[in-house]
Amino acid sequence: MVRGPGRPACNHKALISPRVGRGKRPPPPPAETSGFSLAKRKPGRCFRRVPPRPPALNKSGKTTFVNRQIDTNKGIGETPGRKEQIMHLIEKLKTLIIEGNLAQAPRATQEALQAGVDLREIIDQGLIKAMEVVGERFSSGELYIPEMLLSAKTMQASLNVLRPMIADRGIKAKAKVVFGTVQGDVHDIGKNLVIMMMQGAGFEVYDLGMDVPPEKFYQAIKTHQPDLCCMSALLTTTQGAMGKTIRFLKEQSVRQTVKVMVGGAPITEEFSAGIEADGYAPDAGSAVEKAKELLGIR
Amino acid sequence: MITLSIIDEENRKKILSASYRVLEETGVKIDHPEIFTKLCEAGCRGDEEKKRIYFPGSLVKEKLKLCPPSARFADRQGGMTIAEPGGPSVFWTGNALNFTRGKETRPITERLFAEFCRVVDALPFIRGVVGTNLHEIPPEAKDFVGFRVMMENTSKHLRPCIYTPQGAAIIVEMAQAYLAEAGEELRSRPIVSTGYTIVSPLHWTREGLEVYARTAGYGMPAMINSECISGATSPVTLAGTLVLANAEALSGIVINQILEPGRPCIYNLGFSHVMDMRTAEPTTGAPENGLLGAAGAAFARDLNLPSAAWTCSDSACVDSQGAFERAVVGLVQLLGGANIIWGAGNLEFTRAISSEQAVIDNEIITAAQRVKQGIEVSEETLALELIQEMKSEANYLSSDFTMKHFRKELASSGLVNRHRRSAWEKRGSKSLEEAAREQVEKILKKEPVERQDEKGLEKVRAIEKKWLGKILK
Repeated sequence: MVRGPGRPACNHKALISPRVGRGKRPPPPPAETSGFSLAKRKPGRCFRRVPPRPPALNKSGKTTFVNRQIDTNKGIGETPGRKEQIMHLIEKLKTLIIEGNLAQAPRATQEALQAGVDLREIIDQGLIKAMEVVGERFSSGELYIPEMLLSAKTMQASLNVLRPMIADRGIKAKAKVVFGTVQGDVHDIGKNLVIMMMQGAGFEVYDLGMDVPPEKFYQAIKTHQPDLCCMSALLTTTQGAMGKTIRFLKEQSVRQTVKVMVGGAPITEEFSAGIEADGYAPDAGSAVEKAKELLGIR
Repeated sequence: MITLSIIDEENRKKILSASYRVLEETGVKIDHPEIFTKLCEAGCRGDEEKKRIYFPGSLVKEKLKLCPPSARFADRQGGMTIAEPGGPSVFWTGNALNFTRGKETRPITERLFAEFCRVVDALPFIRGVVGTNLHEIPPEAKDFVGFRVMMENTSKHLRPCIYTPQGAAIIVEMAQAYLAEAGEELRSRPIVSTGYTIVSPLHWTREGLEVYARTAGYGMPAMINSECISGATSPVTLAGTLVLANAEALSGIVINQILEPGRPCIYNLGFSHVMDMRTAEPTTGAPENGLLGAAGAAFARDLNLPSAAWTCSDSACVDSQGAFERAVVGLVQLLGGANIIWGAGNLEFTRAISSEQAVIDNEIITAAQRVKQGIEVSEETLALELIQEMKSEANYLSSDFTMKHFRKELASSGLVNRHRRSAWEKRGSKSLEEAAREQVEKILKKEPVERQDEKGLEKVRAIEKKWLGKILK
């Protein structure tokens, strides 16, 4: 499915419905432009720039390896032709995730698995690479947040297909995070947004919800053993709960086991340093980058 | 006076009827056991486990009838603003976290807020001052310390920013003590008003409801704020946001009329935002902010209630974006008939206030109010006799008619440039921002006027000291 002219920008149901998956591709953008500028958009329409489709494997577009015995531990032989076919399968999956094609991406993931493409390759070259492209396009202003979130959801759906194999192979998520809006605060829009962005970046996030007391953060850290603990607050009256939570984690001797990151409207770098958090992100967009920086991952 | 309806009557009915369905079928989360019980006793259906209250339409309509169609906001110089459907609109300031000067910004301190209040006090088209965060003051005291700062530095109507229910009660105590010196009370002279915002979607917190409860019983106007963020806490469609916002504000009206039957309430859908889909910021200077504020005012007129809105800019400094966003959004809300419009001097998604911006906003409001005033047509203003007398002589300037009418007919401006280039250069080639900065300095250099209410202020300070002592213990 491709969103092109004629499709409403924000009709989420339409976007994920397989029924609308047969839309025509929009014409490719002119070679000299880097994408769509706002001025050129028709109001109410949304375009996703789509990378060129890899050549079809055969007329029906299906792989010829569908009946091959699955062995997720091994890649298929690196014979000429096959290598190209693997690349096509991965490119196809990547494109579907970038497009946010929730209906077809899990099927394409299954297809790649059945074709014997190595699990690690599907994750690294398909899923993560796709989200890197999405991240770049979002940063350059080409994509909007709902489009990025749809790609993240699509990536998660593909990941769900792979999950049993991931467990078998002992592959770990990029990072594990526990996340909550602090005690006394019931505003969770910022938290929800950052969580979706983190999931899109391949983080495993445990959402503790709103009005989370220090004890609940502590329990979550004990249970999930995360790399990062994130706290959010909207109000100047509740931001104090962040310091209180950090002090509690220290008292319980788990503070040193996790990095702590804070954010929210009243939070500043100075405040973050004052309560001895490890880092602070001023907005949802920069939170993932800051998290990666804190955890030393790319 | 011009009042435009952004949505026609038929569509307003559709939206409002959907809002009634939300109240009745979806309900509102109520985090306050006592108010929950009172709502059930009044005829609402309650689900104690989910803390949800379902409001029957008949009850909402019954409580709306108790709500007076106007609210009064007194200043401390004998002035009174009457906010009512179809009535005039006035502009107030807005709350924030930072104080911006030019491109620099820093946390608002007591000293900076006092400066802001003094500047605003000198600006005739800004009629009310809203309290704000004070960086160095503990959260439990920010509201009432801020109220004292406002009392000392401006005579405008005061709308403290409420941080805790206790803070709201202390402010009532301060205001009553101050008014008692002049033999008055809040009911006769509402120099201070209050309000709170529901957490969208459909969730009244304990703090918000407790603020309403602790300020009820004094005839003090209460603003019922819905502050949806389209696309984040409400549907991305503006119509959908209005369905939700109406339901939220109506629930607040019912609660307040149960707490204090006949309490003046401001029906406020105009704090709503849309989420910027690139930065995730809730906009304040986008065209949609104008539409939502004006639509909210139209619904308030339908319900025979006063209305409010908030106009700001998303710009991080005092610049052209700040001016154009305010002009567009503010004018739409003003022509839409919002009675109380917050945000004069606000910048950066309401995160900042700026004295220069307040001075510029005073100019924008002057011009916008002139537009709102419209064109007066009467036998006198037609000036037929004068036209026949002048024939082809272009000498209207020297006529008595001009002398008599020009001040009323033409908006005057003190800040914008109306000079030709050579004269503008002679005057220092100043941009609007520079002229605003100069005016701020001029206002601040003026000796403060000797106050006649020092006794009342002493009482306010004594109450502040008493409570600060208790809180800081």
